Amino acid sequence: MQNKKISFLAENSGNIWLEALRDGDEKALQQLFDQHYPLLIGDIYRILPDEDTCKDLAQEVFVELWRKRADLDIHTSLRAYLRRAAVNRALNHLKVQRRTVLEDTETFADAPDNSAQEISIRENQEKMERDLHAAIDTLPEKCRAVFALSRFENLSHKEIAERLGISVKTIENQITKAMKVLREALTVLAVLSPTVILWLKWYILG
Amino acid sequence: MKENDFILLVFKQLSGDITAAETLLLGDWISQSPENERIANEYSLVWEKSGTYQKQFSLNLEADFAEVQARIRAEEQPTIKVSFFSTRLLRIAAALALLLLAVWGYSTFGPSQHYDSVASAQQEVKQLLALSDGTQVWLRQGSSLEYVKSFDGKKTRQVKLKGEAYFEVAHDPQHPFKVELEKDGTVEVLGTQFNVKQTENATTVLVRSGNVQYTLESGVKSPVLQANQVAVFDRNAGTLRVSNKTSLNELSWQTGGLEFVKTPLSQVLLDLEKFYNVKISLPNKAMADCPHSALLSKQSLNNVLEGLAVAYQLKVNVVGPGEYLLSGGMCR
Repeated sequence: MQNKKISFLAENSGNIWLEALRDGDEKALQQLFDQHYPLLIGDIYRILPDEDTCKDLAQEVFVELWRKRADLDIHTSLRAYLRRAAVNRALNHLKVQRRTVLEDTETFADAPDNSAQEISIRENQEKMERDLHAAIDTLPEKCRAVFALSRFENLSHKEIAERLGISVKTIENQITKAMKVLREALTVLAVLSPTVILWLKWYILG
Repeated sequence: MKENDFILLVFKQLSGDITAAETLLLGDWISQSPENERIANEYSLVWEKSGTYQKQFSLNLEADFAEVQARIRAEEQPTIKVSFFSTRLLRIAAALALLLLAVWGYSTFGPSQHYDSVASAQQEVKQLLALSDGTQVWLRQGSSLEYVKSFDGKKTRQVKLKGEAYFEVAHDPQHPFKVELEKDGTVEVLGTQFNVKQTENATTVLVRSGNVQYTLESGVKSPVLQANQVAVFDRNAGTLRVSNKTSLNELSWQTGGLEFVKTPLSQVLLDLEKFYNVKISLPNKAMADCPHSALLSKQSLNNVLEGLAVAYQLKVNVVGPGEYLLSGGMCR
């Protein structure tokens, strides 16, 4: 343990589990697994809604973490590091799957049916969210993956395009398509809060 | 540009992935008609409401971690070719494996290694135990200690603690004294007085005098702790923090008394709350830092509060069962 730098200061103590991992302690790996695996599953499943693929990719993150344990040099939060690793694997998976997953499929499942009803504003908001999330579930694979990567993972369109080996234009088309499908699902937009309008005006026009 | 292009721009605006020129274009388009404005609003709402989209399915962590371990093994070990002629070796290996399994089974499920006696504190608030070397151990209620009847012939003097105990270790530099903890490592000492407290989420080692070293399960060691230092291992966060103890009274469960040496009144009240298991509030902020010195031994709470009231012109109000309010007050 000669070259270990461990600081025991009152603030900012290092992550003991990472230190233990570096020493080859598998219990530390299990601890980190229990803490982060469910989160990674959540991250990947939004992009690739296939249980087996999700589990496979998330598990690989930990296998790799173990393999690289001696050389780990994590400056950001561990959560951010692992999340990025998981998203990277999802991107690689999509690229490889290209021929089957990334081809254009124009057929969309029917958006949920919302006949006009009288509902309170708060119920409106909740219903909006539910309908919207249900609509995301109906997006075709490529469209959904691109939408999720762009919306949830803070990846620029250029980055996504490069990683998936397709053009930026295609990425943007997919996003636009997703937005329109989701907009269709929100037929309760009859009641639109005036504060949203004011917010948007300020936000865009400065 | 068509409407689709502007839908994309709304998305880019909200994701922060937009150029200045695009922002201007978008702003222009929106101000051109209320219809455009409405469309922009609707798509903003879509973007915003999609933010909470979360998907999960149920997981079996144990099984999935086992899968991770399997993959790691597969990576680490090259596949071994079993030769036809090594069946004899295989049989020997199998016999050994069975033997090891039996030993493992015995050591895991049989009586605890190293120790032949157990002491526990059940009814009493604390239980005093003397070990064969003269070391004294006070067990807090609900705690237990595994030890050996005699340390003769042993290189180290070792015990195993569950819960909380205060130790006054007999001085013997030839034979280090070690406290094995339930989950979080061991504490090693040389002629010292210290307290170990184990709870669901953390293990705390507090040193009264002497030198103590705390080693975690993973092998990580704390610096040598000295008098009035505290090491806290937070099992959930995986952090080990060393600090100076803030209160003289963390051991009052063992000493039976409370010590205040120019202690700010706010801390005095905190210690009283813990010791007597009550709630005391002091709304007068000016009094919070008022230094108080006193040595209290086996006094009733009423006596203590009365003493404070007289000393600092406080008024004691009982606001509920076990709840007190100290109002007014002037620091000397």
